[in-house]
Amino acid sequence: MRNMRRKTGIEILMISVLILAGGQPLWASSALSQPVRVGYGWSVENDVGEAVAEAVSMMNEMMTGTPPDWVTLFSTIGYDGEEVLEEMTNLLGDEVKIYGGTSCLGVMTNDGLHIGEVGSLAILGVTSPRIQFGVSGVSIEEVVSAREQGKKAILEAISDAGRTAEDPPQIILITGNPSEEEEVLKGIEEIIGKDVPVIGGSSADNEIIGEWKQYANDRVYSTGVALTVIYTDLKLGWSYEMGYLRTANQGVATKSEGRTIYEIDSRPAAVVYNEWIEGKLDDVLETGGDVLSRTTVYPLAKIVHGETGENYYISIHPLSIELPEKSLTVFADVLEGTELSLFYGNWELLLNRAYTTPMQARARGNISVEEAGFAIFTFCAGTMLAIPEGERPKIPLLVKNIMGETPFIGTFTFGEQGFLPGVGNVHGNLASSMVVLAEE
Amino acid sequence: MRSCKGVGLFGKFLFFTIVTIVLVIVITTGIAIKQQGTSLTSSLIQRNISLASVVSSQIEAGYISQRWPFETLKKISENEAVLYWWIVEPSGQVHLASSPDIWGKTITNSAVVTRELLVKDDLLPETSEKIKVIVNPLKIEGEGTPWTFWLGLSLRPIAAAKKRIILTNVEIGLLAIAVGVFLSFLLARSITRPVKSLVNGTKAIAKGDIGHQISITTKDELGELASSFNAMSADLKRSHEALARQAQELARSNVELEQFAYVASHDLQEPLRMVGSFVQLLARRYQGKLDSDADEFIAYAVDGATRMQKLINDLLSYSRVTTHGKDFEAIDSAAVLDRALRSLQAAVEESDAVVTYNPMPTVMADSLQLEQLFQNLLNNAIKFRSDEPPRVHVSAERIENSKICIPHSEIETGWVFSVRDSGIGIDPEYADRIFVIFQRLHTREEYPGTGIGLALCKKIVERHGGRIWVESQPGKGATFYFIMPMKEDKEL
Repeated sequence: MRNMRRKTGIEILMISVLILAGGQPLWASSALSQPVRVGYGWSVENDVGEAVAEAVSMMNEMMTGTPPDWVTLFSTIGYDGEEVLEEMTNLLGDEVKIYGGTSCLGVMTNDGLHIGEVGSLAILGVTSPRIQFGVSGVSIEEVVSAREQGKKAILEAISDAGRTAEDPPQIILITGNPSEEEEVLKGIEEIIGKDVPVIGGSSADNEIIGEWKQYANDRVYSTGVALTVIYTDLKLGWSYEMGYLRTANQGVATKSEGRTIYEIDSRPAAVVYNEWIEGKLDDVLETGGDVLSRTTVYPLAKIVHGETGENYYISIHPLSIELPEKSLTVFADVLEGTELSLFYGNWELLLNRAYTTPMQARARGNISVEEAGFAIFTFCAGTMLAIPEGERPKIPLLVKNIMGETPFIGTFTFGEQGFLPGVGNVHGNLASSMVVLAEE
Repeated sequence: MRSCKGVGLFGKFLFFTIVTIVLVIVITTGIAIKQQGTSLTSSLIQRNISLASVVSSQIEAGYISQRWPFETLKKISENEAVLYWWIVEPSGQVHLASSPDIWGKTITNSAVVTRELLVKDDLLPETSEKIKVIVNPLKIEGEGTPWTFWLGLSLRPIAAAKKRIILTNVEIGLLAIAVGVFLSFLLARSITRPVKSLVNGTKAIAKGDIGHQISITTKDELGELASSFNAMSADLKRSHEALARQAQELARSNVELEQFAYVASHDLQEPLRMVGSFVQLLARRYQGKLDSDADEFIAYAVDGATRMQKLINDLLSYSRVTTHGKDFEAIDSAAVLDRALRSLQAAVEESDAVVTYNPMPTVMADSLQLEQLFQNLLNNAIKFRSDEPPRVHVSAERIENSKICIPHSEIETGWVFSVRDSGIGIDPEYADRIFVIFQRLHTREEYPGTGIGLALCKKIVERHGGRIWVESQPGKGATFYFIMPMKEDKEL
């Protein structure tokens, strides 16, 4: 299965959005022969200090004492973000660049799915003379708009890497506040153009109550965006997919504003959507309210067109039905005139994404298991919650099936960002993504 | 079956019913478990081979479409018989598994490289539980050999099915026992009720309710038995009534006879006394004055009159036993014996007889009749003596403590008297005959007498509710025994 090269047909199960990485000139460096040192750690200890210490200890052991240049940190809201970062800084020092955010319910590593009684966290540290990391964090309060937030964040991240905007990174990792992600992406693209993939997901809490956090170096944000820019000559792979099956139900958002769709084909959006899913929301249609858990397997998708005319489908997750308009709120911006299509899936399809997403990433970077150095995995929290609880431990195991012993950590997010060739970076829901770097 | 002797019909029916049911249940359960066990194991394997085949097809399709059939695999995992499923690479590495613990591990088993479906026995590592494993090669080639799909099957559902069979059969058995108990009760009652009626009927008849009828209306053998019983009872009643009438008639006749005998002997006394007196007068006055024939004739007449008078006296005494008997009272039998001996003093002295006796008890009796009894027995002992002077010994002992063999007697309390002599003895052949009136074993010339004495003794003893018998051998003396019963077991 590792050598699986066959792509699925259009008619078959998955709709994968695969984008070839924009090739960037490899670094010509004297450090070519020096290895990438990677370590990961995790903990579900109830005490934050003990948890961080355990995870850091595990990571350091794997890195054989070499301090990391950059650490990705995913934790759940059971741990206080400030304390987590403080402990991290205490243990790793001020020089290490920390990037990350909160995850829904648990985190993932090679060792499995980690869900603690109080909280859980996972870290992945990397140091390599062939990789330069730049980390930044910007709160929405610091700027006038989300777009400015994106601009400021990318500029600071590039600067942190010791580069300039004219020298864009090979890839950007993003962890943001689940709000206005599209604007943040636009801000980033205004600085570096549309060719650099921005891959990541929006930070999450456990119950969508706004307790999510973003980590950037020594700061914790709740309405911020955290970025990592990566400059490297190593092979790089990434993937961004929303594996659902398309249905024949299709319409146009004739009235919408931000993340609310009022009308589809000039009829109340919730009524149309309910018809498309054969009345499964009849009860909520009359009362209004949350439909998140019931729509995970029936996402809408925005149809976007690439430069060469190909269609891409960006899944969006219906959140609630609002009365009296019977409008539909979603987790992504929908502009008026956007073509919408109904997709469907099941938990099996969603679980398989833990297998196919890493596979696509490796394929995209032409990275063999042996070459893979480390990976960052993003999996939609709604997708995870749609999978039966007893099956969820299979998510990291499936990743491991593709990645072998390659160190990776994973997070469950409230919205995923990725790259569509010919379109640029987009924000969608119910998606998964992976970034993988080779060792050599 | 000795232990069943004291058990009632219901208990016996119950015992056999329960034993039968238990045996049937045990046997049928054993057979069912054996058959079901084999059948279920075969069915389990066949069913899961089919399942493995279907799932394998889905896995093969999933391999191509990059979509593993997790829904199907989850459903398989939910099957209580399925302990695990593995998708194993040719290297032995577990690619996918139902349990995260085994995921990615390498197994060393020759079945890893099988190209044919295998069903093998195995042990579950954690518990050493016996399991069945189905290994199905997948159409996914790698390293020259196919991948395999493994299905670990628990035999617990079969054990559970066997347990259910046992429980069901036990439940059926308990129900059958309950029904059996109830039916046994009904059956036993249907039998014991008429039997009890029959028992009560026989008891009623035994207590004198001759002709007692029982009411059993069943048409079975018991009904026939009851009908026979009723017919028998009716016959018995008729016979009993006829017998009673005969007894009554006999008693009346007997009374009349006794009355007749008494009246006849009493009324005959006077004319006989007159005849005797005048014959004796004739003999005194005309002795030697007539010819010798006349003397001889007169002598015959005197002798005849005397003997007749004696006969009539004895007969009168015999009849008076019942007609003139006195009420019984506590009397000292030793005193009575003394009186009897005094009346026989002349005979004792004449024969040089030696009469001894042990301490005598006090008994309830008619003293005159008891004296008459002793007198007759002692007189016989002296009269029927041998050449030697007679030795007579009288004794008495309690029946309860006696070692004397008492023939055919239901008397349980009282005194056994014995009068033992050293006389000529009696042939046992005549032991009963001697007590019959007028029966004699010897001629009058050998031993005088009327033949009434022992009959009189018998009548006296029987009037007292006792019985009399003799034990003797010719030439070895005789011992007469008689019982004087004790009324209400009174210690006198």
